[in-house]
Amino acid sequence: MSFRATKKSKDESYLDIDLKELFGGKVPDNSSFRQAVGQEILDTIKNRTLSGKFLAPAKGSYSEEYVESLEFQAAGKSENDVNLKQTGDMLGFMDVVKETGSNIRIGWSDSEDQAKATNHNFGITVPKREFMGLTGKEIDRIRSKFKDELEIVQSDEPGKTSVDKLSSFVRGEFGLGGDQSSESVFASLLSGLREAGDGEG
Amino acid sequence: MARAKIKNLKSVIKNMEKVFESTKESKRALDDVGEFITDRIVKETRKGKDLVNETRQLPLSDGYKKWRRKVKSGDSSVEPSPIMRPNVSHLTLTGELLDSLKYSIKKSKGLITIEPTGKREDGKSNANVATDLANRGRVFLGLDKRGVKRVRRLFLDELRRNINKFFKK
Repeated sequence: MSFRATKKSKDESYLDIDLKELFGGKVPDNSSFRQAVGQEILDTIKNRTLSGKFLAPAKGSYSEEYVESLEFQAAGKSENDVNLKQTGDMLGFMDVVKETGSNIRIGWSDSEDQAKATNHNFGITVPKREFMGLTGKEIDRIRSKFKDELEIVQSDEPGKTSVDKLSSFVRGEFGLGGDQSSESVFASLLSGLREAGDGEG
Repeated sequence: MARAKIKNLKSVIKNMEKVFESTKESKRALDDVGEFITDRIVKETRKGKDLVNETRQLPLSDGYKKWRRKVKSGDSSVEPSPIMRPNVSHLTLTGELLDSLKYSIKKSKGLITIEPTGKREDGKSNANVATDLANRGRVFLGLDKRGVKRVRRLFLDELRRNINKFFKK
């Protein structure tokens, strides 16, 4: 099994992950779980790409013109170390842009970063270097990391996962009733942090 | 009058605060931020950018460019940095100033400081050179808007990594 990005246009692509498919069964339906898994996916993709590995064979060197440019040399890059990093902004701004139910979407909120990533991933005007996705081994590792949460949910014993405890606390702290979603409050906390990052200069 | 007693609230709130505090004071997160800012200042300045004012560095005079071309061709006692470009204003001649940038962390104050350090081949301190440049309008110790957003993302990422950890008992 593997996951790969979908190209919407020459400037737009996303990596959609069905968590039920990723984990092979029921998953907790709460934002904190989706955010935590999303972060694990982001870290996996970034670390793999920065180590110069891609999802498919890719051209292993940069063009001579780029290598001789000030941008390349100022970034301290080396000719055969292809890792899609110059400022680090493209990989640095990759984010969980949508999460609901059992689905999360990895992408970019900035259109320029998204266009750049799409170009690299699908080889629109630059050599194709596919990085948006997950390999079978990476999926196995992520499954193992979230084993505890999944065992509880998949054994029909709700309310005891670490993220459920966190959600219960949030519900209590914000005085939410049992029929209101505390996950939406926690999601708001994280959204607030993200918006604070996007809003001010 | 009916009353509701909430038990254990203090310890629950304490746990919640722990997540945010541990994220804010995470050595990993603080080191990541220090390294990121230092790296960004060095690399973007070397490209000729002024991150503070989000523009290009002030242009070089023709006379100074001429001298830099001499240095680049080896016709001088000054050893140029390999990436020095004679006609580009990028605060790079020998490379010593930007190479000297280091960060330090004061966790208790939530403070990360990035500054030039050490002395140069010509005996001047890099701190003095930086001050001198700033007095002539060539500033570089600061961060652009995108850089600030990247810093916030570094903390958000760390918070997300901490979500799953702390309530496991």
